[in-house]
Amino acid sequence: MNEADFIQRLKEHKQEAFGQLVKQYQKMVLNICLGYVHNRDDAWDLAQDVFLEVHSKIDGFRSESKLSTWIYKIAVHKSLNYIRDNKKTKTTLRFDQKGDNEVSVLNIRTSENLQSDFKIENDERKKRLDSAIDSLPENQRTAFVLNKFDDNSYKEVADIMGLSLSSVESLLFRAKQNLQKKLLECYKNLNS
Amino acid sequence: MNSCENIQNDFIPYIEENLSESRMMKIDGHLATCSECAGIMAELQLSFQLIEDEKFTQVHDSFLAGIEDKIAGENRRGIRIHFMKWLSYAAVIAIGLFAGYLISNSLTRNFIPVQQQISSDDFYWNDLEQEPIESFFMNENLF
Ligand SMILES: [Zn+2]
Repeated sequence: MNEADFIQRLKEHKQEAFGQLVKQYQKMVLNICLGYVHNRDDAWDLAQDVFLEVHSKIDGFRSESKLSTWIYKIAVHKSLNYIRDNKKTKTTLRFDQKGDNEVSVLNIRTSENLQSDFKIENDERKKRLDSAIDSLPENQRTAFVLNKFDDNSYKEVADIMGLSLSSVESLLFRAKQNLQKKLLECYKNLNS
Repeated sequence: MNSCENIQNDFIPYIEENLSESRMMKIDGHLATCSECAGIMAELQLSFQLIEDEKFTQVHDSFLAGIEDKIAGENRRGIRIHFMKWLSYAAVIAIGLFAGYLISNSLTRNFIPVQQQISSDDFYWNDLEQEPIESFFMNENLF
């Protein structure tokens, strides 16, 4: 079945067509949301809401872009809205997390629990990585997420984002250079 | 650019094994002798491993089931909103009809006594019929 027929079936609200659509794009949407919100549970809920929006807006889809391009844009848009709406809560959570860690630091130092020590180190590492990914411009960030989180080749990223292969090569080159720079700065600051 | 910086610029492509074989070997050689770069490389590899550990590779069927539940919930909510909308229209119409009934009822009630009042006071449009002009002029008290 070609994409036009598939879209027609979606517009006729055939349940099995929608199920097929979810199966086809769920991993991509989940990974895009994860790349933006950095939490698997939040990404899971958010990705379901992305498909809810796809379901409710499919009648208005004009086939001016590929279905995958339309869906990825909805996923990015919803992720950015989610981050904006939850900014205050997130800050509080991070503060709480830090508080927990500080309590744990005391426990570890007394019990010399190396496993927890590694967990704290990893939590800090993840915060640095998330913050480096967040600092990327939107297109670089999406291309990086599609490539590294969702394992798409450069050609596949170009297809999904509706861009030329050379544009994606340039986006990913800059994204990785920027990330490398940010992370190296962090490591150097940690060791200085 | 010193040797370390030059090597560090290729750390991500090195992790992704996206370099020529000779370049990979050059970086391997440097990492074996430079503890600072080896430390940074280890840190970077651990960071990229976090993505590998966290990303979604397989998705359980409960994901689709959850979406279908949410859609069913939205539909139920939609039907409820639709029902409430029509219910509110019906309520407005009913209130309108009732108000109309009350108004017309009160008008009718006020109208009947007026009619009754006119007839009971023997009010006549034609006064001559009630008191002929002759008797009017013959009424001595008039002058
Ligand atoms: Zn070095």
